[in-house]
Amino acid sequence: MGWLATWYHRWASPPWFYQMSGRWTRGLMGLALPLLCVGTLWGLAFAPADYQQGNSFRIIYIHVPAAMVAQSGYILMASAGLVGLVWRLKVADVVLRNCAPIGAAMTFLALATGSIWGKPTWGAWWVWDARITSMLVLLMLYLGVMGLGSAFRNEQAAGRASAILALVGVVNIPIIKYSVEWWYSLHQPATFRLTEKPAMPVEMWAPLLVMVLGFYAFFGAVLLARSRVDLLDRERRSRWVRSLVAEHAI
Amino acid sequence: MGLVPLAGLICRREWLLAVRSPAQVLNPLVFFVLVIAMFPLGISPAPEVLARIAGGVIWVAALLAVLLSLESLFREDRDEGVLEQLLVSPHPLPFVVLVKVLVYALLVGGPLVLMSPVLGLMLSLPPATYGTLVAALLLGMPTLFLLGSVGAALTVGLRRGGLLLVLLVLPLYVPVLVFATAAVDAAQLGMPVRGHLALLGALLALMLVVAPVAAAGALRVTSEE
Amino acid sequence: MIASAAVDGFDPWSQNMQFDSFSTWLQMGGHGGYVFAAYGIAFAVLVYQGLAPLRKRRALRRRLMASLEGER
Repeated sequence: MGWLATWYHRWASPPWFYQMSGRWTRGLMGLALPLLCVGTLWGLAFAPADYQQGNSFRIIYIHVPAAMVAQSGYILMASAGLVGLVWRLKVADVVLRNCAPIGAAMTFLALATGSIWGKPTWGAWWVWDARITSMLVLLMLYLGVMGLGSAFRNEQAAGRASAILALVGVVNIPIIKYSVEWWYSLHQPATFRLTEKPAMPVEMWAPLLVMVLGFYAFFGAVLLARSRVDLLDRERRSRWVRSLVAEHAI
Repeated sequence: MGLVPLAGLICRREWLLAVRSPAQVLNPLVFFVLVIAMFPLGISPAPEVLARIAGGVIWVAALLAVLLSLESLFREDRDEGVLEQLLVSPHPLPFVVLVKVLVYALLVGGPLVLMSPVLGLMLSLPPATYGTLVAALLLGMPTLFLLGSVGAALTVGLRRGGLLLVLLVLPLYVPVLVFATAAVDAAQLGMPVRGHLALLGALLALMLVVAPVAAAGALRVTSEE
Repeated sequence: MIASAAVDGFDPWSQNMQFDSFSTWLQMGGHGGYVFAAYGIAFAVLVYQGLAPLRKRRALRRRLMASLEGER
């Protein structure tokens, strides 16, 4: 367990986090950009069209990764909130607060692409489909965390309040998802859904996998990049940040 | 002081506050009735149309009325310094919050529940569904107040807290709205409603445990602001 | 295990281009507008998100430098 404690103490220390997150940001971005380029090209030109939906199916290669990242982003945010509340870590607070804007952007992206995809598939720009509706609720949850965080003047109180809200949200998300799916099945039984295919052939899901990995790497890179800037801002009075500024090393 | 006398004191205080400023209790009720009266005007007075949407309309209006009342849940306690006393007192804060929220739910939500069959009548809801409507409100209303107490605790010290409170709490109300309106719909169709009510009860049980702890934590945070 | 069964005989390097020409690719069988609109929005959102930390960083650097100058 000794290595775990060491690892934890290192990452919890702001200067160490600042140093390491710089490397990780570059590494993840270096992973994300090629994956996203290859995945986009593959999905747009090489993957076969769907026999029912035709080429509009290609929207899956951004819709599904965005939705996946949006959902795991909330769970990551709540986990950071738990760590921040229990151990009072500044680093966890910063990560939590920076999860929300990226997560909200990804949720918006999933909603927008879902809506565009719905037009050729269902003939309407907006359909109260179970998944789309739960994404809409997720967007509201993200906006709530962002709004609450910006309403406090005290940064520490903002972090802890956001953490509590994120934890209450994460307890409710499975219930909300279940209730929305149940509601949908009550009102519109047996319409076909955008992304539920009995068995997707490998030619279709291989590029999807590439895009999913690319989106996750991108999310990680942007999250770390945002967090380390925020951390510098909050620690601006500390000695390590002042010496970094004096050396023009920011 | 034991927990029972403490609970008695909290109940007494809430009761006195409500008696001295009845607007706190009456405003949500008036709001509830007014919002519902807008629907026949806005949509159609045809009984079959109204009966179809009645369950949803009553529930959405109830959600909004609860939201409206939540802002004052902790406001007075904060302004009068009672909240600070509670924070430093040796009593378990989650218990205090739980009792307070339940009493508040009874005082503010109770009249809404009592009023709901009358509004159902005005919306041409078949009388056979009133039992389900009231049961769903009885099970769902405390959940709304419990979830709302977390939002109210998080925003109690903030300027422009009211709109933020709506944004924080409304998404969390989705399951209650879905299960409760489904219960009313099922009753209208003559189908069994026990399952829906059981789900509402399960939600209430979960929130009885989760919400007071979260709201107490939130009150500690906002007191630092 | 499921993946390996499905991957059997799949060679990522021998995927066929699905379109004969650039213009058929742009049309996408009538769905071109939808597909490219979706990818365009995705591109815009990702670029904005990717650049946001850089912008924040530049603003912070300027602010910290100014406060350091002010102290001297």
